[in-house]
Amino acid sequence: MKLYLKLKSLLEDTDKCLNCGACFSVCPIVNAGIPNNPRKVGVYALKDLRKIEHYVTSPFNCTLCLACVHACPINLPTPEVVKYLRSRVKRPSVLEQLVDNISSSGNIFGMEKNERWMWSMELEFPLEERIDVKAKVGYFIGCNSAFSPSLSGIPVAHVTLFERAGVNYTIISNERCCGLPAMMAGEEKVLKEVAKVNINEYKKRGIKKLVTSCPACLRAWREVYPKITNVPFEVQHTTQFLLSLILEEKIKLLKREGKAVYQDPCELARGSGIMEEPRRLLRATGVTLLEFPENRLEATCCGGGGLLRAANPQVAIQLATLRLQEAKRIGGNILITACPACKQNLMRAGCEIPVLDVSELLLEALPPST
Amino acid sequence: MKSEYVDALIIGAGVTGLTAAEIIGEKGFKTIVVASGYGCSQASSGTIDVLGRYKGKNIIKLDEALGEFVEENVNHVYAVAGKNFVLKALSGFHDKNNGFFVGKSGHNMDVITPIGVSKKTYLVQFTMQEASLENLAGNKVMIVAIPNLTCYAPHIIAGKMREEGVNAEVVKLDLSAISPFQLATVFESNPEKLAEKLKATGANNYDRVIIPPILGLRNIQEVLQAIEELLGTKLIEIPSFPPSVPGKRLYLLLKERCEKVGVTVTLGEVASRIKVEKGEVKEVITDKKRYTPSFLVLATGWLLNEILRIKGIPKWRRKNVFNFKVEGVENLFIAQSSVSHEESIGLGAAITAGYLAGNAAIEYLR
Repeated sequence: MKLYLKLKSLLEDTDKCLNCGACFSVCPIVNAGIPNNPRKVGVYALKDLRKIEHYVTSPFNCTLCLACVHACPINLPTPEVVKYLRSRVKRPSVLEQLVDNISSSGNIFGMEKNERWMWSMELEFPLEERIDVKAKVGYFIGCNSAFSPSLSGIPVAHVTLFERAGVNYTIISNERCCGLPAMMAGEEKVLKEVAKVNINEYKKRGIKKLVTSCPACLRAWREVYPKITNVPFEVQHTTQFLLSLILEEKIKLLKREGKAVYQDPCELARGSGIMEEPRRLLRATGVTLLEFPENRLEATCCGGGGLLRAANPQVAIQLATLRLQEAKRIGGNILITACPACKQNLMRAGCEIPVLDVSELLLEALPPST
Repeated sequence: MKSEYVDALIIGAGVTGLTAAEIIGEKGFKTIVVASGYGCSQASSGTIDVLGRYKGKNIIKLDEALGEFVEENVNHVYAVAGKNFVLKALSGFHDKNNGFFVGKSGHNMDVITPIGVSKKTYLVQFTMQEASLENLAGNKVMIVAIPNLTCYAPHIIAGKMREEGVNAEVVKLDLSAISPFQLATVFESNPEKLAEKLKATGANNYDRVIIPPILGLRNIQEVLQAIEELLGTKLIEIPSFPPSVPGKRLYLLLKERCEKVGVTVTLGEVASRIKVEKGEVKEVITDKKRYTPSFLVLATGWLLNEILRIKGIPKWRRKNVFNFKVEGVENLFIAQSSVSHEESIGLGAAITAGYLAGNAAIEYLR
């Protein structure tokens, strides 16, 4: 079974290109002034792999943000072409390392298994009773949130909210990377291995629903895993789950002030069509919601996706800086996103205004426990 | 998957689809536009061509020419709508977008094309209103050339202008560019940057400065004003080759106005099947959702259209799309305007088709 589209079908698709330039007009990399052209990546390069060097810096100069597919009048799968090209050319050494890390230690950083609990030191309650137990809900943390010290606030906020709402949940100590980064790097074998381990772990705990705060992990679970084997439970993004908890009044929030701009994560909005849940959560905290001129399905990528942060960090930060400037220009004093990768990338661009995950905003609005 | 009910569903987010959607949405009907991507508007020059040339002659007064055209092309959208309807639809469109589009009611005007020749068009975006050879004759004009930007041909334009008695000079700007959209995005938030670059080349010594359309996508008025104040001379944009910034401006303008009246516009959603039962469109299936529309407008264009299967209508031929009504199907309107099969008829046909579709939907839904 192949996860990538086959070369033949890609060629058939790209043959239809009209050269209208719609993809060109929305590409965040082009709009940031970096020479790269999705039209050429997608269409010309595929026909002659040797030409890639002439047209683009490399197929790794892409955030896989899906903006080009959305703008394309005939929906050419340019990101699929990019992934295919990535699987056929020599990977930068950072990405080679990343793929190795996933297959050897199960996470993108190559860290030890016991290092994944660093974030839980910030908790005010013991987490042990929640690890590897039978439960209704599984919380898939994802490598970025679990290991990056700068993102520890995300899992902390989530488990605190779950505890407050009395959710019967579990976290798996043997959690592996979802495998999508490997696939983005052009390596599909690794994904199949980790998928089986992950699905098995949660099956053993008999969960009914899996929630994850990472939109990339979400897409792996929802779209790629079912192609490998049966996923016998529902998979949701945490914004959907948290919204249902608030609607059931299991979480009550205090009102807070602020002018928040919401950055739609590409994988969440264009990838999974989840756009209103995070906005409703934001409004539930009482903050004023400001919108970028390009929002929802047409949102501009912050540069955090598609492994661009690993392959070409300067460009990734350049894109994030543009987002932050725009957020400031429209009058926001806080930037909210719903993706660990977005948050990290936006933070790296220098925090002119604070960048928070939706869950962290909810945590701030949580009344003190009695 | 549950089907979502809508009063009017429009497939296609081009000029026709969005014009129709706005008219229907204004009346308070629940309206949704789904499209696989940007429509032809983005690939257009962003000027509204109604009937620029007919039988080898340039048209100035639209009234008479349209009358003649309508009599001789009975299958064309203009004939289906009727001359008076076309003129009314166009002035309706102009009123709604007054300020952004300029032109003289019922008359064509001149505009310079990206290769320097003149064409007759009905409405142009306000930044281009002085972009005609007649206006510029006798002036000292600077034509800006930006390295790597191929959206217009400055040297050819200069040559043509000199033939017409314009004192035109091409000046290269010290600017690295990849795409007109990139520049438009940059200058939208930072007009001083362009003013600086222009000043460095001595643009303030010219009567007029001609630039490709790069003055932003939304707040063009402010950008233009800021630069003209800093520079002390007038800036004129001229239309460019597709993919063009004016085309995208038009799309954004129409889309944002649709959203103001409560219409949802979803890109990246591909309609794959239309179910017709007992002479009625029952359901539309896309790759993401199912809809049960009371009324369906098919505005998928022609140039960018992939064949849509309409189940229940045998042998639906795409050729004669100006017949508009599919026989026996009450709640379907086909408004494939881009088959205008005459030169210099562009978005005028699209607007007319949009108004036709909108009115048909409102009448049915009432």
